[in-house]
Amino acid sequence: MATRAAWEFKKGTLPDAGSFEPAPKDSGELQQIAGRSTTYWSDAIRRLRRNKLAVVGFWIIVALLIVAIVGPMVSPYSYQEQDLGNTFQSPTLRHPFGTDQLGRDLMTRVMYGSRISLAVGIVCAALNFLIGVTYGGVAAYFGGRVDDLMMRIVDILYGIPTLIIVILLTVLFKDKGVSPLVNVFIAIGLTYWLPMARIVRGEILSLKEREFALAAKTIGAPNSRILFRHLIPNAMGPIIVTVTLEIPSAIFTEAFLSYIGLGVSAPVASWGVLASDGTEAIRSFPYLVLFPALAISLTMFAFNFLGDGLRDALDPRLRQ
Amino acid sequence: MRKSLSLVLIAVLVVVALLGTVSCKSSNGGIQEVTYNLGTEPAAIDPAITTGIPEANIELQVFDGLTRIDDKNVPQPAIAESWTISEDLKTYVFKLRDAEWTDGTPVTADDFEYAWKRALSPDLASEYAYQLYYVKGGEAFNTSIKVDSKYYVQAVDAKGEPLTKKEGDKDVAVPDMTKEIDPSKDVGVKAVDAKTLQVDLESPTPYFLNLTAFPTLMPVCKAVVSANDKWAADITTYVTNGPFKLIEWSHNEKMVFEKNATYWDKDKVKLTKITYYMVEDESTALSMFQSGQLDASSTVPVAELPSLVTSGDAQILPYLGTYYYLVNVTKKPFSDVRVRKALLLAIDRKGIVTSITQGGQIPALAYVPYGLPDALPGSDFRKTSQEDFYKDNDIATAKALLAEAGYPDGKGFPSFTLLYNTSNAHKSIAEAIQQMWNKNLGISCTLKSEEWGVYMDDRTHLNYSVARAGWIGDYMDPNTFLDMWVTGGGNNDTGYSNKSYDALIAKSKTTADPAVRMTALHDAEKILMTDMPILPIYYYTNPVLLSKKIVNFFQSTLGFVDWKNASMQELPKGS
Amino acid sequence: MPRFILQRMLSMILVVLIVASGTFFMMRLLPSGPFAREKKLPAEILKNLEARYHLDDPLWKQYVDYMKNLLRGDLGPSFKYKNRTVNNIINDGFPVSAALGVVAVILAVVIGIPLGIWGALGQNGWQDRLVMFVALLGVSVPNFIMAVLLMFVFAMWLRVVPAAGWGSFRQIILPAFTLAGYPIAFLARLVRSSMLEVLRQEYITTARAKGLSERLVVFRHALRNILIPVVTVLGPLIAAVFTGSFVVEKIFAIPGLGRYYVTSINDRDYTTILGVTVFYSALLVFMNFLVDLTYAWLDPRIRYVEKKVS
Repeated sequence: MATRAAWEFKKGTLPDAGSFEPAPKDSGELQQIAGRSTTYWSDAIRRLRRNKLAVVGFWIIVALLIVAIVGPMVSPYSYQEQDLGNTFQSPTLRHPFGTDQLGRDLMTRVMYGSRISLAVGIVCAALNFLIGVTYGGVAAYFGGRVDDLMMRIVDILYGIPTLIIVILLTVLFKDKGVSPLVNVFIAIGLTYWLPMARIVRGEILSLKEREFALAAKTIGAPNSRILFRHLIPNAMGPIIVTVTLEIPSAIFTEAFLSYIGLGVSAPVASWGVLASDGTEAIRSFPYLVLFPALAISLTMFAFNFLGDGLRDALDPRLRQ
Repeated sequence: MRKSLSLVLIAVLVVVALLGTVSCKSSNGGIQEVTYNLGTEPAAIDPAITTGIPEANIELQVFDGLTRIDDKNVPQPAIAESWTISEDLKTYVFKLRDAEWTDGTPVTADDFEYAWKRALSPDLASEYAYQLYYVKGGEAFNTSIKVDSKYYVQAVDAKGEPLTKKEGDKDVAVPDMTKEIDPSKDVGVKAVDAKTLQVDLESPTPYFLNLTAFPTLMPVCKAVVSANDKWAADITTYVTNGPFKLIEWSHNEKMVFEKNATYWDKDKVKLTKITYYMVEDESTALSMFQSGQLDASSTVPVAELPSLVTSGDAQILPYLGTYYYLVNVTKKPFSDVRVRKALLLAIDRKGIVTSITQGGQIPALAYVPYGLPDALPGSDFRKTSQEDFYKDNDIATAKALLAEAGYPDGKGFPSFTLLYNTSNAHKSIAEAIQQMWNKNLGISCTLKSEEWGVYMDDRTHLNYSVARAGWIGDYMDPNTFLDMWVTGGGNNDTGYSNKSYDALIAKSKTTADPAVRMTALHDAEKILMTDMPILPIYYYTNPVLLSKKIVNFFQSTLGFVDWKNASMQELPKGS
Repeated sequence: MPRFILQRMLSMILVVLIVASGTFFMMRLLPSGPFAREKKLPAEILKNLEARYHLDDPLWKQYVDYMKNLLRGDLGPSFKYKNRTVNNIINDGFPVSAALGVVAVILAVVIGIPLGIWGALGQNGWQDRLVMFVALLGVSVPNFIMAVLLMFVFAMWLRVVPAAGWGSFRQIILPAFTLAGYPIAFLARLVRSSMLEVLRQEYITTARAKGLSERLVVFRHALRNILIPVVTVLGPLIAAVFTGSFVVEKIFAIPGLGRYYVTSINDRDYTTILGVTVFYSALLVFMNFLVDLTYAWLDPRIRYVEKKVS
């Protein structure tokens, strides 16, 4: 909605008294929009592309996805092939990441596990974003009783022990043939978005009293537009930070869920499961934890760079 | 910016200064003091109601029963100086020695009678009351219904079924008011005088003197306990009679014991102080051991075991238990014994104990482990009978059996679920066996980890195909492993039923002749090994971390630790 | 405002009661019970136990009895720890967890916030990158690995602190830092990000143009405005530090309340589950209330009671 001024200095020229001309009164030209019209989104993408770190992050994620899909297919080992005579081998050329307690090649398992962990990370980030942001935004926007009720529901969901809910879910989903990852998404989806909802609510409570929001209201913009087009983009900073920083906890929650039987079953393993399993032997065989943990950290870095870039790109205050 | 930077630097400096002060203390200041990791907070320390080994390892230090098990697993006189056993092996008369409670009062036969009847009373609801069912009238009393202050047998209806009626929304048992049970008369334990205790048993029980060393059968101070039902909740009212006295209890953290100066055998006790820690994490326990905070630990991280055994810091002690898989014999195709045997034989037990569990476990080629007495003194039940009923990793026979059952090379064999309770150890073993069955037999199964409660529920309700299980012996007799497989037995989670087996077990419970009894038990095991409702994998071992400073550490094959005769020595420098 | 506080108090109590009721019925739906053992108890003994603990009463009656006791503050006896009451367990465990939690939160605030400011002020410079790196590490290394690493370096290798246990000041250091790892990282990133936004605002430029020192600009003007997201995050973070300390308490052998939160569920120790849940829920609800009050103080524009627009 920004328009360029109807006049601008031409490079190298300065107005002097004589060359001053009154501006044309032709309303058409006055109203002409001089700059290229951009939507919020295309402007965002353009800014994102220019951010070097974000681009790096993006390509790392792409590379991880490729490794996830292709890696286990090209590896000479299968992720579940055991070799009881070769357990706990340190990294060598034959096994660049070493072998685990059953003699399985760790590198293949890490690559295989990336499928699960990346899926978990991305889906949970999306869930967090969609549910948490919307819930918190709506609560804060309408304020008063609505806010009170919605936040008390959040308090209740926080209060009920997640472990009980999760065990009930394992009983519920037993033998129902639901894919283990869907179980994980449901379990995480029930509670994962709560901190985000609170954070967004806090931000929006403050933002909604600001001038730009009041202005939008005055001109009669509908509630959803104010909320989603104005308020939430201005809260993008904390939102993006929260989404990216909560991805590892999704990965480790999935590890825990798999441990108690709600997620993937052995011998399938995600990075979180590999890291947890490896912790038992961390003194003598630290590489068992090192490689999955590095994978998680690398993914985190990538998502963070990308996330920062997104934040910078989506922040309306940084528009050019 | 400068300010926050300097703030951070100051914080760091402060922290480093604090850390740089003193180094950590070692675990014992004096000489005859030991610190031990119990591994968990005890559920209670009242010997009548506890069932677990950690609780027993506390009660054994502070209480003394009629007998005490020595390091050869033989019961020795403790509070009972001597005893006589009747011809029919059903009546024991114990003569008690002079001994004192920590509050100065003497230990009398009344204390024993009171303690046993208390453990049997329905109000106390002791989980281990069934340890006293060997005593005449014990079970009847424990299952009776209390009305006001008297006890009655539950009434039965015309068909002989127990009678209940509705009280509000509750089903309440109906007492038969004509059949009173008087604990003072109908339960077979009686204090003849202050120093004589007479016990009448329901039937001959050759291992009864082992049982009298158990916490459930230990005495409690009648005067204190009958007046205060919270006596075991507070160390100031916790009156005991054993080699050590509990002087400090910090929940979830530690317990401290000191030598009991009024113990009747105090000259044998060399330790002056024992500290029990409750560290649940095995890795942390190892760290504490290596940094000197612990002298011994009941838990050892499995991955570190081989190196710890080599360095002499860990010892692998025998443990009376078997690790096996249950098979749901009511479910096709597992109802076919050939299928079960095929699954049994395709397991490489040696590989599992060498590469995965790494704790010196013994591959199980039968069900009852080594270490149980047979009829002749000094003989071993396992060695007297066949030691191996089948060969380990016998793939050829397994394949043949599977083909015979109609699934050559696993073709047509339905995929099933292998169930285990949440644990990395069980997971690794299950993963290995899953692969073995796949590679050797062409059978595929999915692994399922379940939280403990869900897992037990599935097992009990036969809601599984194959499930992991383990059994640790309760007492030193093969019966503890064999009587569970009778038809409808509470611990028989397989649906297995064999009338001949039931008959042999019943016979072993009523015969007084040890040779006849053992033969019955051997024959029962043979039937079990023919029908194979379970797949034994290995016999347990019990690894412990043990400092070289500890002398005469004793842990029985049932897992009970006894510090009575232990002591500490100084190590020569450099060891 | 007082009306708001009163309303809030009532809804807080309601929340705790709903959590208690929800947890009560959900946990009773779990298969198995408090007296399930690997060596199963004979049926008669099970009956005696259930009678003693009133588990043979109809469920609605057990619920009503429990709620009546709850309102009097009596949380009942533990089913697993046979000679202890739940009140006793909480009284013993909570001060320990609280002490640990408070130290962890202080560390998080004292280290995390300045770290974030420092990073923002040196945007895209080496200090910013360092802060980013540290923060990402703190968040992607799970606390059980962090605990083991810290224990290994400081207790086993450098030998400056005991490996585990509780009682001396030095024994708080490692677990507090472990617990604080994630909050420090989170706060640092959040503060940095918010600070960057705030520093771009016109009023900051104005303040600088007025000639105010950088220090005044940052601490007087900028800081107040980033505190809203920080305070919001602190709420759930503090709650997580108190309840999520299970792993840290287990690894460092700390006799706190955290372990009961998990083990009581596995043990099906109904009273302990409820007691700890109710306790934590009350704590959480109260923390959120404090957070909301702080918002109003930080940003006077925030209103909780709907204004009637005439």
